[in-house]
Amino acid sequence: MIQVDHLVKNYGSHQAVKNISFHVEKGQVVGLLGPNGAGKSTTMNILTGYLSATDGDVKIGDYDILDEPLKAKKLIGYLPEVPPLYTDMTVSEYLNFVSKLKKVGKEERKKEVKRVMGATGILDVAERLIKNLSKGYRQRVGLAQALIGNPPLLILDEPTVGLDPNQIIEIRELIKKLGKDHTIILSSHILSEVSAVCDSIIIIDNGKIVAEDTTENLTRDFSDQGLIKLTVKGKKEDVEKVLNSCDFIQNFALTQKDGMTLVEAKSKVKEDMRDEIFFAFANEKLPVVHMEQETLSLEEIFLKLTREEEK
Amino acid sequence: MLAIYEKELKSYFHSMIAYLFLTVLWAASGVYFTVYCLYYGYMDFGQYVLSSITILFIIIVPVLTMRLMADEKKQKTDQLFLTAPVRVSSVILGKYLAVLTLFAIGLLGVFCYSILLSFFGDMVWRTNLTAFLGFFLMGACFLAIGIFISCCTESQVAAAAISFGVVLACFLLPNVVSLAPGRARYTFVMAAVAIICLALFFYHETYSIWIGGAAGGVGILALVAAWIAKPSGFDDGFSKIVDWISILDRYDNFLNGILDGSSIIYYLSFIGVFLYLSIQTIEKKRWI
Repeated sequence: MIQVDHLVKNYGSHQAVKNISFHVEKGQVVGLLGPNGAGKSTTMNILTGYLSATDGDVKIGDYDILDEPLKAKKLIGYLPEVPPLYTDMTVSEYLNFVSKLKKVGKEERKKEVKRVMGATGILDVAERLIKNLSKGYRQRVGLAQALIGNPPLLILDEPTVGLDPNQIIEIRELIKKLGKDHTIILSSHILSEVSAVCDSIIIIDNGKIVAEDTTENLTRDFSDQGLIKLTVKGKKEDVEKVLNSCDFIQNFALTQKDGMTLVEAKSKVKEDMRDEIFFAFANEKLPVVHMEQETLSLEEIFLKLTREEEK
Repeated sequence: MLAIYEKELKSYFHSMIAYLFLTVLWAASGVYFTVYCLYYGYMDFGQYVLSSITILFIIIVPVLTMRLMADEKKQKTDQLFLTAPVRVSSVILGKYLAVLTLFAIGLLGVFCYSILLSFFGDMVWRTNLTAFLGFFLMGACFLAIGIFISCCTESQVAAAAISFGVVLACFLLPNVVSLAPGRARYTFVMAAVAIICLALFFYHETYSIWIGGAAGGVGILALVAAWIAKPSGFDDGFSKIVDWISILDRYDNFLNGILDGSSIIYYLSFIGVFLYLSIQTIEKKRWI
């Protein structure tokens, strides 16, 4: 659905996007993740044809955004960082204007406006002036605007920014629901949001892609599988003996605490060795009361990746 | 285009601007109409009323055009139509036609005065109609300048101030130029300075030293060639050029009832150039 090849964007001498390439398949929900100023909004603005790239190609569907902008733009519904609202219009006036702009036929216009207002839950403010609406409602009107014409691709720039927790959950639910029959790219710097809605994640930092994978793969690949933490009921010496007999353990550290021995062991192999460890201790009649394999949360992966970049 | 046109026209009438504009235009022309036509009994509506209210353009143009694009950029609503399946040219054209429609509505009101006048004497309709046509075209030119200026900035206030200055300059320039020295070599120097400014402008717009340098070089060479060929052609050159490009001077023919083809083409191409520049300014924004 989206094909980005070697995208570069310079603002004067500052390079905001440095050679980014990625593909998004039809039906995917992709999260664009990165700290402030990473180049998320710039990338989205280029995808939607609002800005032009200094170098590189963007293809939406089968159309190049520069060569056939009208056809490409027809496939996109865009919610920019600041919703582009005319504050002196009422909600229904505004959506009506947008549907004219997006060339929705005269007969369907009324139905279409009603449909998107229903989908975003703004039917009860239809006749109110946008300038009198709260931030949350404005954001929803912005989202409704992106949905008009039912474009197959939705590009949402920080869709939940500035909303209260209830509204955030509502918008997330809505995005999940839309994800069933739309391709969606959304940007965010809130990781829990991305892991809650997205199938896969692209992490951008400093204008470059630092990681790109599905949510599960990222969590698995970046967690330090080798590190296992154990709490064993028994004496330090006994525990030490068992651990020494396991040849896949590289090194370990022990601490004793009220009859328990806390173990931090590092394994030589990448595979999950928890079964082996359990049986090794069970054979010696040493009960393992707690065992955990360290996994990194998305937050930690993110910090790890973006900090590495700084070094 | 139609969507933008309707939206702009509506927003004029939703805000105070349209009413303010119509009030000022009708009140000012009403005063001249009452004094010259009704009180003194002059029948030449164009000569006495229309040419007296041309000065209103100094206020009308900034007020009507300042927010057309500047405000959209400031509120980031330009993202809406620049990412919608619409061409930039139809956006600009829609906006221009909207402001032109409002101007035409105002002018139609003024036209009613002249109809009223025709009941009380012998109106020369042909002269009257050409005067109105000329007035409309002249206004259309000023509004095209206004929309271009609004495209260049994000601030309504700046847009208003600059268009105020530009329209004012159009009114003052012919007077100032008559004071300029008429000797040929002054014209030569002035023209050289103008060419260098233009070359710098090209350089600034394209960031290419080649284009800027080429424009400047060719311009200076042409100027020198012209100087060698016929130095006398430069006498009073400055005021000749200004007279030729002056939007206001061209209007005199229309006032006298002359339907001058070259002036109509001049006005139309003037509008075309400024609308084209407006479109390019918006397109250019995407590249930097």
